[in-house]
Amino acid sequence: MPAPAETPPLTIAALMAELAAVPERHAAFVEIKTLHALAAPIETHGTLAWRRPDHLEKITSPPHPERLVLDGQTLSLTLGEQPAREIALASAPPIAGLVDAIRATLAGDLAALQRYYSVGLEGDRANWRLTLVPSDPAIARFLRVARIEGGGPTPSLVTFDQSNGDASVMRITPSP
Amino acid sequence: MNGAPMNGASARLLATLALALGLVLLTLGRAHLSADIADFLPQGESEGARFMLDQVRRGPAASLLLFGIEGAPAADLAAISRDFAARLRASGQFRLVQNGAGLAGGEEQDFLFRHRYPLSPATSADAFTEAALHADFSALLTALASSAAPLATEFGLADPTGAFPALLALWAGPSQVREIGGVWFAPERDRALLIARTRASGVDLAGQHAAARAVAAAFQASARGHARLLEGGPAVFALAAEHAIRGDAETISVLSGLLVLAILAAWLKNPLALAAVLIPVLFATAAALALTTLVFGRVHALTFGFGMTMLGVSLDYPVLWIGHRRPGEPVAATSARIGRTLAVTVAGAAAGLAGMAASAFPGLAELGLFAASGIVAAALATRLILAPLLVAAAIAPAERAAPWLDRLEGLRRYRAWTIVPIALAGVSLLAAPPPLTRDLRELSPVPQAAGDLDGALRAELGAPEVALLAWLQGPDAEAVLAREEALLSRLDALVAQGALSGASLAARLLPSAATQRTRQQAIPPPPLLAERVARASAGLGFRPDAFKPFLDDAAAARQDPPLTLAAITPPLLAARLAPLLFVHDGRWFGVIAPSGLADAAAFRAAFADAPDVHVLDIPAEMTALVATYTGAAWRWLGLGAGCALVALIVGLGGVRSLPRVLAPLAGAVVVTLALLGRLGVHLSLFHIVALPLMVGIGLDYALFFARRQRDGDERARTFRTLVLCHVMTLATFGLLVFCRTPLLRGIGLTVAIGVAAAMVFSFFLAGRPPLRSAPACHHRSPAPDR
Repeated sequence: MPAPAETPPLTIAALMAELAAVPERHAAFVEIKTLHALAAPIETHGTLAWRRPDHLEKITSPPHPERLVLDGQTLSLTLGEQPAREIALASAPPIAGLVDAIRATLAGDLAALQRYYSVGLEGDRANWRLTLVPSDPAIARFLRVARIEGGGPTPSLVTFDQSNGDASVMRITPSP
Repeated sequence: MNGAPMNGASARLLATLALALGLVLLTLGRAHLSADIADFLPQGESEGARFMLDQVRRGPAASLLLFGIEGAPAADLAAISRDFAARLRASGQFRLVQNGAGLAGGEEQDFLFRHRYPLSPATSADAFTEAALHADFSALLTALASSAAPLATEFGLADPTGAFPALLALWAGPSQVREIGGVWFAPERDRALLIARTRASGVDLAGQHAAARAVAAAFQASARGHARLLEGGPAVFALAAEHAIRGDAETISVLSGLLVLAILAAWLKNPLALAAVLIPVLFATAAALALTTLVFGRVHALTFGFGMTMLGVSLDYPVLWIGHRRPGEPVAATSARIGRTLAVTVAGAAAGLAGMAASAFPGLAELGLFAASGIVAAALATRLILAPLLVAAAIAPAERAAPWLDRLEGLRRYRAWTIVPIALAGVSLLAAPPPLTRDLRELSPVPQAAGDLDGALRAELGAPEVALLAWLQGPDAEAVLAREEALLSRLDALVAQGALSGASLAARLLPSAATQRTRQQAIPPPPLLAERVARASAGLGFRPDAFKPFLDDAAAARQDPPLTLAAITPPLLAARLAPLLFVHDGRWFGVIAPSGLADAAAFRAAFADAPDVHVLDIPAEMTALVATYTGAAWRWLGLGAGCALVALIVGLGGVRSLPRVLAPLAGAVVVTLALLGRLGVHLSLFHIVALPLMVGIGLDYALFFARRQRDGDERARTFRTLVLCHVMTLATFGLLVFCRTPLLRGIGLTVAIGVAAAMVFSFFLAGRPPLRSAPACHHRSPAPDR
């Protein structure tokens, strides 16, 4: 499809509509976490899968094997060989804030995003950046700001700056 | 009726009516009307059982409400549950509203985290060895690399030994509920679950009404789609029972009141006479209320309700007086004819009911006093207040011929045949005596379905049973907690063998000070711990200061004074402990409440060798109590019958007329009991209560029929008046049969059958044979040809 002659200013509604139009996504990711407790950053990689309306799966490859499945309001986390742990999002705001930011963005669900964040948008359709600042105090206690960058209907970079100085940067590459 | 009476006399009569009404309102205002069902029910045998029963009825367990929300997709139910819970909290009617573990993020979590070392079972010397710490740090590293890193950073660095998760598991509550969106759900179906504790005590019906209104309003505001609310809990039962009783009592008393008034109005054909009939009943009500308040310090609403039904009978006295009064007759003349009979009737009926006042069942004692004093007051008011007013106002039935009287009395030739129904009833009674019920639940007006729903919600929530629990006491909280800690292993064994799914007790949540001190001493001194941490974390990649929060908290925990019950201030935590550990009169009580009880015998047996641990089986306790009182009922029935007999012998001036009076009553009792048996009714305490009442009414009939009557006119007056009394009684008690409340139905059925039988038997057996031979027998219509 040829690019339009002039790029119209991108509205949040337009971006969300475009994101919401994708029923299913598969991607590879590389995540770098900088934690104040650790002397060196940790790098992990794996795959992401998303399906409408609220199913998100994140599988991390060794050396830090992990399987995270988010379905509705329940998160199931399996670390290595340990048994799966079920975590209710409402009882774990630190995690809920992070995973819901990603999931709601992928779903193009502006209402869900705005429930917990004030949402800002910069850039144009080909190169946009969403800035999420928590408005929910339980999330704000842990998260300072989340940024999601992408082009068209595809996010490519997710960064979280936590209140305690920890940070994570995740690069996403859509799988063919 | 006579023509227009003098104006002054009618004014006086109406003024007396107003005075009587005023007295009723005054005494009603002074009487402390109690709607607390616990006041009406028996108390426990021993001091301890009494106290624990009281706790169960009025304590925190009694103010617990259980809710289920279903009929919508799970996500909607979770949203409704959150909104519903928020509205309930905002209503101010509830001490506690919980729809999920709810410990996250609030002051509860901060408190538990702050005090994790003394409170957590995971605090032991083994947890602080270098090897254990190394394993903990490695696991923490894995968590930090995962998506759970924010949680691991928040809690793991300060609590690598996992004291907090172990503690949280203890407090998180029932294990089998699912959580969806942080909201409790039933394990096997889409049903959101909540619990709430009302501020009002479980037996404070007014407070429970306010809470129920708040619940209804909150749910209406938060419900959407086809979502519906299910409710359980003792307070819901109390309300349902009260609602059923009140609904019945209101409907029936209005209906029967209207019916009785209509009958009276039709008979008297004179509004003034109608007013006159009401005067003694109103005085009687005021007197009964005043005396009961004086003796018991209060009048139970149930006593007042049933007592008024019983006092309805005292309408008979003015009716009998008016019915027997000849036009223009002075008080003394009427009194000469029926005064003595009326006095004997009243004395007999009151004596029969007075036996009930000797019952140790608080409600019955109150009821007996109320009814007996009311009956006497009604008779006195009839004779002393009403009779002169009747003369002044010239109220008396017109003299009418009664051509039917002879033919009717001729029927008494067949009196021998009455032996047939009585004998049949006697045989039936001997062959199949109606079973006695001692189960209090059969007396409950709450439908079985409500009980089943409560059980289901309780099981799904893992909420403790209210039917069976164990308790112990001690001089202080520490003694109770220490004793409970010694029992923990038994409870664990019971859970392991499947006898129960869990047990709530204070010691699990709040260890004794001794245990807390042991745990504090298990934490190594700061320099030693710092050294171990340094060695255990070496080479894992942590920054040197990563575990500073851990070292700081562990050092602080060593210095903290042990926590006491008073120190547990966060509301959710305090609410969990309140029903499990409490002080009463300087003694401390600990409650062990099993949940998911599968084997009550095993639970009981587990404490067989611990005499200080008392197992309280509430239904069994109540059943035993009711059995005791049912057994005792025969004693006070006998006492009442004895008193009534003495009253009769004195009143009748000897035993000569006694068979004439007693035969119809005995026949009526036998027929009533046999019929109740045939109808499949299980005799309860309430049927037994109804017996003296029914005999008291039957006494009216027997004594008035047995009276020596001068002439046909007098006999006609008696017959007319008794039929009127009888119809009024049937209207009152017959309607009770349509009640949903077993208690009211039992009384209604017993009295209605009994008085009907007493009327028939009294006519045949107590009535004297006609003085003249009946001339009417020859024109009996011929039997139809077959």
